[in-house]
Amino acid sequence: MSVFDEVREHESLGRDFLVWLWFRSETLDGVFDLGDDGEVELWFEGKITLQTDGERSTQTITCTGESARIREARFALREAKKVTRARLHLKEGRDEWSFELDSTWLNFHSLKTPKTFREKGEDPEALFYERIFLVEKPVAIMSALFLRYLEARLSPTWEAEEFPSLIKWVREGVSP
Amino acid sequence: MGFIYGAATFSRYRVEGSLPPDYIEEFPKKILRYGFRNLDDLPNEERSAGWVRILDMFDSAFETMEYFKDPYLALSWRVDMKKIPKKALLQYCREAEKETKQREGLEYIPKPRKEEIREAVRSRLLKRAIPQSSVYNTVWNLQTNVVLFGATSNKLCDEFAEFFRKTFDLLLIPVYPYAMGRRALEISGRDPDLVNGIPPLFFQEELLP
Repeated sequence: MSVFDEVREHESLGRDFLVWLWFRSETLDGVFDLGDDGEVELWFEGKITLQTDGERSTQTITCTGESARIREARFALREAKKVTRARLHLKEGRDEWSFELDSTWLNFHSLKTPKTFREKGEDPEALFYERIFLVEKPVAIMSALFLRYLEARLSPTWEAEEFPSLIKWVREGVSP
Repeated sequence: MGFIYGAATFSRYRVEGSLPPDYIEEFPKKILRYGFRNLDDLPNEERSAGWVRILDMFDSAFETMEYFKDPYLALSWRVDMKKIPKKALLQYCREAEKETKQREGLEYIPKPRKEEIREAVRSRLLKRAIPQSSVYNTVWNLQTNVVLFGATSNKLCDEFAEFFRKTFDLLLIPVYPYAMGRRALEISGRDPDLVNGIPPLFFQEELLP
């Protein structure tokens, strides 16, 4: 099977990961425990793309901005719409990143890193190392979060505990 | 815009296999061989792709091995393209055909001759065209064997992976959720096929328990 066929056949994995991230970020106040790697905070920044797979075409809805629209996006999950892309904000210690993540490849789009100590043109070698560290870091964190999702799905408690909480969140959102 | 300056958009790959033991000697030769060549030096080409320094897209001479930035190999992949507008090509071809007819007293130009004229016109116009340059940062972490490539379009990524294979004789495997899942399970000593048993989530009321 080609990579593209495999990606298509298992595309729900990335889409459902984004839904789980969204759910966990709202219900856990955005805090994710990464075990030995400490804690990170992650929240959805307001831009969520949802897509319906029809027989003939795909329909895309992009919800941006205020929370009412985000609520609408959550309701759209009940109409068989799938999350295909979302803008996320990630925080680890003092460092913060913002980026869009797509569900198909988990590619990063428009990643904004924390400010570097060095300016453009100043010690390019040092700037390279600083920037690459700041690019690799969110990649590693998102991979770790994906593995957390995988563990959750394979856990015997998924059906009895986590999935019912997820359904409740889709129906009702977060209790004030 | 890329890994060094501005916002970064990128895809990820895992390099299949391990680094050749003599990579410090061999990679510089390979990089130089597949270094970017200006379209001015390739008169009949519309497109040129090759490696340049990550910090200077105009440098493909690689006089030093500064692309080895331990533990990374950092380069940019530069793609230059010249485009001749279709209608302009058509107009110049018509004019050239008319001239040929008059000069050689022909009533009709046979198809193979038309092709020759078209090729000559294309070549002449290509020399006048100014190429558009695109540069994609490429950072290979030689310790983790992961490559970050500064683009996400499927077509471009495929072309890049092929260029990487030609240069380094190493295969790039894209990173995507299913492959990540299988690999993680394999590394932790579990059956990678477990990932196949994860069903898609549905939230329509009629499907919920």
